[in-house]
Amino acid sequence: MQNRILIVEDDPDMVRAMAVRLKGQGYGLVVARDAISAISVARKEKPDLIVLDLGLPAGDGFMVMKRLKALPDLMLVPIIVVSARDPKFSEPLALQAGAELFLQKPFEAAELLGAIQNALASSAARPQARK
Amino acid sequence: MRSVRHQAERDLHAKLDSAQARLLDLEAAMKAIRGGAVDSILVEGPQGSKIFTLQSTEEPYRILLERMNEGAASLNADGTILFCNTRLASLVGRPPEKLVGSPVTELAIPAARERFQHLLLKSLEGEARGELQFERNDGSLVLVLASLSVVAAEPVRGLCLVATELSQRDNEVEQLESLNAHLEKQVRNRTQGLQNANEQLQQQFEKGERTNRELEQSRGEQIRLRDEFLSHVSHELRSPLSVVHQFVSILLDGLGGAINADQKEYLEIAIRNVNQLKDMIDDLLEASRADTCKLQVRPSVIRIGEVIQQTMGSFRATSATKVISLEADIADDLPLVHADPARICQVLTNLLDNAAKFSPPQSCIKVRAHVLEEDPAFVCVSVADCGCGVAPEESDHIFERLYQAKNSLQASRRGLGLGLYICKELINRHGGRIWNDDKRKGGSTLSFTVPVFSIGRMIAPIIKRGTLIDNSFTLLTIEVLHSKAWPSDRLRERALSRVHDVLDRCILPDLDVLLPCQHQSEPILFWIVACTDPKGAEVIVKRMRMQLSLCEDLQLAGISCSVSSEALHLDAIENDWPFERRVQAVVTCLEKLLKVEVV
Repeated sequence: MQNRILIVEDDPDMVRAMAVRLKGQGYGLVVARDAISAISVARKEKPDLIVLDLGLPAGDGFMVMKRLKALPDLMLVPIIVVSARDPKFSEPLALQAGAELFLQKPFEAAELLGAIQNALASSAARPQARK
Repeated sequence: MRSVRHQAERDLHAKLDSAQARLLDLEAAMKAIRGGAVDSILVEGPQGSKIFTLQSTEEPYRILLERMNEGAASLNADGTILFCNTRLASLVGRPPEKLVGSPVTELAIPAARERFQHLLLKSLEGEARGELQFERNDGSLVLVLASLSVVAAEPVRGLCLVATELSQRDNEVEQLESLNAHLEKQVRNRTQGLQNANEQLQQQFEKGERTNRELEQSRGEQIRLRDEFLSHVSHELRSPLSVVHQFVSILLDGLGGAINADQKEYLEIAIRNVNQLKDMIDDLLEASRADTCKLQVRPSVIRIGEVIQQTMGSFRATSATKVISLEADIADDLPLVHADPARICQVLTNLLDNAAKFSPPQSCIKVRAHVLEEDPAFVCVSVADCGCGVAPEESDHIFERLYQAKNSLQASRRGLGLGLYICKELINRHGGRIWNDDKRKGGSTLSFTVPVFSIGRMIAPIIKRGTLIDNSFTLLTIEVLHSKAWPSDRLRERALSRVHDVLDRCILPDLDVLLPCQHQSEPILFWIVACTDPKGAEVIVKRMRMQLSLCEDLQLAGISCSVSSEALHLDAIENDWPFERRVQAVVTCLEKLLKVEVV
């Protein structure tokens, strides 16, 4: 079955770049451009994984994570944070908020693809996550 | 016959009468002499009459009395003045002859006469003195100290008065007092002057301090603004750079269609430059942290050879631009070092980057690691290239902030001049040093040192401070327990870093030492050597438990910590032992107690 990934990113060029990469790997994609729609799209589409930027219109990545982790059917969806922010400050906060990984932009495509594979594999290993 | 007898009787009577009369005369004269009424006596003798002047015998005493600065008088027992000197007369403003014969008490003002009388009576027993107010003829008052003493010249009992003018003494006292007051005033004035000068200095000092504080504040504010600005700029630069990076790598990976060899080369040049730009942004942030001493270095016990090999491996993978070979010469028996592996990797990468930048194609960069010969407490790592080298006069400057070597113009690209500055700051934070070998020809050699790990080296400073006096050392053991398996190495590392932070906050840097441990194996233990007795250790343990329990992210990660303490038994250590021996004794004791090898 094709895994679906939600990309939450306000920079359309970056969305495009990631879309090329992820589609090339056979993933299905949904996209949200701001914090509010990220939550509504996630509720509607129930993605298998979320790639999340931290700086977003109408809120931020932390707010999105907080809301998603409070929703029973979405709390176990793995989140990979992709941000240009300084990892010294943002990485611990992101991990604490429930992210699997923090990747600083610019990153190597292989890093993101590897992280997505790992996260999906460990998520699949948890039966309750597939509810 | 009878008439002869009568005649003889009459003669005898007449002689007797005359003798009696003479006797009476003599008695009266004696009385007069004693009473002072006679000044001289005429004595008739066979050689004619002779005058005995009483004055002549008393003269020296009279002169003495007259010369006295005090008033003096002789009194009879009932206080009548028999004689007085002119000083006493002038003291009360009356002629002496008027005083003689008058009661001495009348010299005093009426209100003081009774007391004077009392003094007189008292003086008859020997001596008496008291302050009295005398009245002058003109009605003015004079304060005198009257000293009365008895003169026991039998059969007449008399008294002697010495009157000292107190107002005169008062004058002297006044003079002294005024002198004193003058001096005091001068002292006060000088003191005031000094106080004023002091206050002025104080004010200037406070002003200086205020200015300093303001400068400090504004400097702090400037640093904050700069940090914010850099952080913002870095973020804003990274986002578009990231897009460029992504698309170039998409093209390179053939996701945009097939590319020919030339196109591939051009795209590789593009991505190399993107990476260079990314490194520059990183350097900007790091340099800003170095300026404000915020560069974080977290040393642990590491095998530096492994770190060097890993760094060289990833450097080979990323910089295949020029055909440059890397050679490693790492001594087999390198001791463990006390350093932050990520930071050592950063420094070494920077040095390799630098070397590669200035190396001609087909040349070789040699990395060497060995124990420093001059000081075996350090391991030295050096990177040698075959480039243009560093001019001797620039040798000291290349580690300065924003310094650009002159020959870097020849190099393909000038950097920001921050790389080596950051390296220097990082190595300094490790307690090592970094330098350029300015004697080398035909290339440059940059070397840095990091300290060899030893417990002794770590605990020596707290022993040196003399805190070993009562031999109280406690070993605190913190075991990190986790309820579930670690989801990832990254999270594990993160959680341990949090524990490390909490422990760091609970210890006193001058008195306690957090021993570095490798945390790859189970159980995960932290050790702290605390310079305190069991009671102090209890307090630390309590504080640590509380701080660790307050740490929410540890709880969220399912991590708990157990803290225990054990006193070191160092009774055998004598304070007169040489320093090294004391340190060694503590180390031996610690190693015994740790059971597990520290590393």
